[in-house]
Amino acid sequence: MIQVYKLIIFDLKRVASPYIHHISNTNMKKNYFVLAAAVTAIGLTAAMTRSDSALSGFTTGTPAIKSVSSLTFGPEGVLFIGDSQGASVFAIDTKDSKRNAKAESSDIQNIDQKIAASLGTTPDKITITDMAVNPLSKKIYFAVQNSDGTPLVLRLENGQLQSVSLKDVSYSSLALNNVPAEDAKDQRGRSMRVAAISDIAYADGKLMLSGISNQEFASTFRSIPYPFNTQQESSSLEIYHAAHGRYETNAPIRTFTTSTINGKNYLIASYTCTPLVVFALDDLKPGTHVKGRTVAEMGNGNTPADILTLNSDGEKYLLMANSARPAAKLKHKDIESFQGSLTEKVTSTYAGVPFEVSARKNVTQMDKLDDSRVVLIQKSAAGTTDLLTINGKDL
Amino acid sequence: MEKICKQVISLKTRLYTLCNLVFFVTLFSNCGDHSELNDITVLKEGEKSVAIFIPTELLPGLTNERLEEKIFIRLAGQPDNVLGEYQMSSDGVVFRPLIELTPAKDYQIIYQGRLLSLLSIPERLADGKTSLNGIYPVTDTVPENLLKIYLSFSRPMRQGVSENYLSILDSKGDTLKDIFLNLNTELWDEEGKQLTIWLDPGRIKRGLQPNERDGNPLHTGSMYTLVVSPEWTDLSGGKLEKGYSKKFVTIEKDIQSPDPVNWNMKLPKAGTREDLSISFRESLDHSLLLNTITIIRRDGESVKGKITVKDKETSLSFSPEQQWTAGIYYLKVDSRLEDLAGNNLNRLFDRDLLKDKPAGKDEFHTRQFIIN
Repeated sequence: MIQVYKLIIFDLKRVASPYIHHISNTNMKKNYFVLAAAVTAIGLTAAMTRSDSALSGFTTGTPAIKSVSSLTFGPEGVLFIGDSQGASVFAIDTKDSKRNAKAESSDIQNIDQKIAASLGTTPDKITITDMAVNPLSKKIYFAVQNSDGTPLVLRLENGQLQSVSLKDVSYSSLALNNVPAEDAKDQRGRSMRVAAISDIAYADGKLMLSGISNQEFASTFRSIPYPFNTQQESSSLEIYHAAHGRYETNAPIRTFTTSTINGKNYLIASYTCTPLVVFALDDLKPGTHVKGRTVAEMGNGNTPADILTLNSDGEKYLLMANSARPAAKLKHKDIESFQGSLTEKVTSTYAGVPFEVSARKNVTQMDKLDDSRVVLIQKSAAGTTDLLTINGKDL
Repeated sequence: MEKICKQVISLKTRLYTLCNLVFFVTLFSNCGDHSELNDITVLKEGEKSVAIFIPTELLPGLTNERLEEKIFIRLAGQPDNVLGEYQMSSDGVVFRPLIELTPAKDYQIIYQGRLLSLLSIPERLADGKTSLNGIYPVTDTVPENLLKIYLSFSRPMRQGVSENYLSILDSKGDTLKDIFLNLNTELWDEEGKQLTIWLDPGRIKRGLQPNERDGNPLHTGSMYTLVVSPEWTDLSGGKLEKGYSKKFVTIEKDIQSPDPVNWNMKLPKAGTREDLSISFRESLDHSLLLNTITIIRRDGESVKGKITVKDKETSLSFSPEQQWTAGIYYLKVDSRLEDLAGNNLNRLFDRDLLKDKPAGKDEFHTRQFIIN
């Protein structure tokens, strides 16, 4: 008999008691008390201000996170977790909101081994599903899935990994598929249900999310006001895939970012065959079906991993990491000046906005460290999985 | 096992009072020796090794402050400490790692810089009962432009690793390269039991570079074998009970949308609970068939009943919960319903904008029928 007993563990909450219990009637102690009360009041005011902005609607508890598919940061150290399995998004207060003006570079060979060892296991038992840099503290966060499905978030601090607890935390959440039935389809009757989350990003008070269906070859895009309420706006997106000279509807978005082009906010998305497509954010209205403008055709047979914008030495450029092809770099001004759309059949591998091809291949994760540097996870030619910090211009 | 059982029985009473951590041991067998525990012990939750107990006797001078800086647990041979929670009582310290201790691995327990013990976690014997219950489409004859395959398992499986365990072989037994779409997130159902796999649409769509460079993933008139490796593990780490394979042959491309007007319907009689049978004349998508078809009464109410997909996805039966009453009914089909090539009721998957008719916009296709 293998199973002879079962152990269930209940972790009881600590009883906090580090408060002043004794008040003396001496003037000095009165003054201290007044001072302490004032400090407490200021603290409470600050906490309420923070609560009013980024942490509105948060509760303390253990969020029912089934998987950590995607990570991105919002304001004030709030970490957004995209949960594909649970078809939900979570906002976690990491309390990691102290600004770090001098971000240290992080370079760790065999980062997969280090993460696995920190969990007491071997690299074959874990999957690094995403990586995000906290834009305030500059600490690197990793989303990891154990082979038994346990979702984890780890943080790199001074070269050492720490656990980002998902128990008894301050959080808020939103279920993606509990939208009313009439809103669950776009104008063409396509289901807007999300089976998996391919990417999430936060900008201007909105969490944006690209979702994939498990029944149709489709991509939906959600724009979710943050702090969460019951609102979530869905659009289905269509692109003109230049390489084959016909509309390619509903191809899934692999990764995306947002940026300003000629003063207007755009979604810049990369698809499975790496066309780079821009959608005006204003056009993405609830239940609509929107056609994007393909601005670059970057070669097929590809799996774009991450896309982001850097602004270094007065020059803005877009970096795209690829897990199969080399990484690519595009000047933002070239995207801005490219007013056309690739609507004719393209016979060459590359078309549209010109871009530089990097020697750096097999980049599986990438995020922005500061205006000029990126952190990435790359599989080296020697077969190691390494964490690197590089200047974006050197990509 | 007997030893662990004795140790846990002993722990049952002693760990109740551990600092902020209460253990409840539920016994499923009679193993009741209350012997003293004075050794390092692995604590289990079901089959999983979830914590390590270190008795006070082995930790001289330990105080309940910054335990994580005094006691280290490391995977043997690794410099990094295993992350987890430490809890101390007068009996000893319990270390609970973030994930279960890995079977068949050794762990070092280090106290004040000294190796206290080397702990071996026994290999876990899986029950080998996890199976692949279904490969869809069930039919063994598919169009060359087959778009997707569903794998349905009996238990939740390990995710994100399907490419290591899934392949399609040609008639010579060679593995076809780059034929599946590599999504960063695999498409599992909510239970984690059914996986949707896309054959690379870039190779199916005409004119796309992968299609022109490498051609369609499958070729008309060929025999293939889908192979699922027995090494694929479920969430508990157990391998599949065996390897699975499914042979299929390919016929020419399917470049027509399914049309409910062409389906054959065998109608039940009023006053009975007979099945309504619908034959499609081709195999359709198994998963979509289960949630895109409804039967509507004239008053707009849907008829409650159960849909069963049959005959290699070429037909279905609808079994009503109540007897049919005579009258007019409607077969209502969501236009999302697809055939095996991803053509839905409104548009072809690989549509030539210059030659093919424009995509339809009807959300549903309905067909009237009368039950007498």
